[in-house]
Amino acid sequence: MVSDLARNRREVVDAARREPVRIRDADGTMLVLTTEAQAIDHALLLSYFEIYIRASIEHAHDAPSPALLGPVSYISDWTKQQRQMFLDDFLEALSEANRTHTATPVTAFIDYFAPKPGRVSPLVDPEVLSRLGDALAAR
Amino acid sequence: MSLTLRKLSRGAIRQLVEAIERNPEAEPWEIEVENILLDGIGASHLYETGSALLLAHDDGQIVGAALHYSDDRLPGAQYIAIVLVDHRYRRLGYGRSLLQAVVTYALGRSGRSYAVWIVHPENAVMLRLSGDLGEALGVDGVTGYVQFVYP
Repeated sequence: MVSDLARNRREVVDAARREPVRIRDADGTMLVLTTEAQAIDHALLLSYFEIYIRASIEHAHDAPSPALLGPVSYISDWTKQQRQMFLDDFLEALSEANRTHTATPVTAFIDYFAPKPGRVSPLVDPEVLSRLGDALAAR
Repeated sequence: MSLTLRKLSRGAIRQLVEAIERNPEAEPWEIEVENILLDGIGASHLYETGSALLLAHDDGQIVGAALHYSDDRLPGAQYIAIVLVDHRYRRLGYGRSLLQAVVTYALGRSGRSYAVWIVHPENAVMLRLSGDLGEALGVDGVTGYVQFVYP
């Protein structure tokens, strides 16, 4: 028996560049041929599902563990209501990623809320707001 | 000029950020909004009741954006964190209209007594508009930003 790849190599490879394709090996084993980028993206998306589940479990605790939250550890000191809204949006981003077969929506979502050291604008700096509050109280 | 404000849903904000990140030709003002929101502090406020990211429209065209929220450090007040006019629509009076509109919107939605904001000391236009609308509270001793309050 000749494998799909041996029989139609050019067509199979061209198709795999666009999206994952199922091929049959000479011994009948079914394989999936895909680009490395798609395989990495798929693994990343799976890891995001794991992070979501972990975050959902930690959310139920009174004191979520930053260590267990990993890439979304920044939600550990948010209020329960904020965390719930975060999880709602996280799920929405996962659904979008699943629909579009790319992890980008979730990557952008997690990065969006991650604190960026050294990039805190005075406009949202807590210390600046504290002094503004003092000035308002002294008025 | 007929300025209207539209509150962005959280999902729409995420899509906006994604669109900016994917588009190497994003407008400078969009990137400015994103940079302020992306610091993590501004972003987390988007999940609080009484906070809103607003887009300013005139005749269907987006001409600016604004963000307001409440903060424990500012009891009784709404903080106006962003008032930004697309650079292509500056010098047309939108800044004054947008500042007035977001202050009115923030106070109306929150029921709080005051709106407060700060302005970079070299932003002459915003300093003038802020002085016309509100009252200068003082100057931040560390950053030099000028503090304003309304009413």
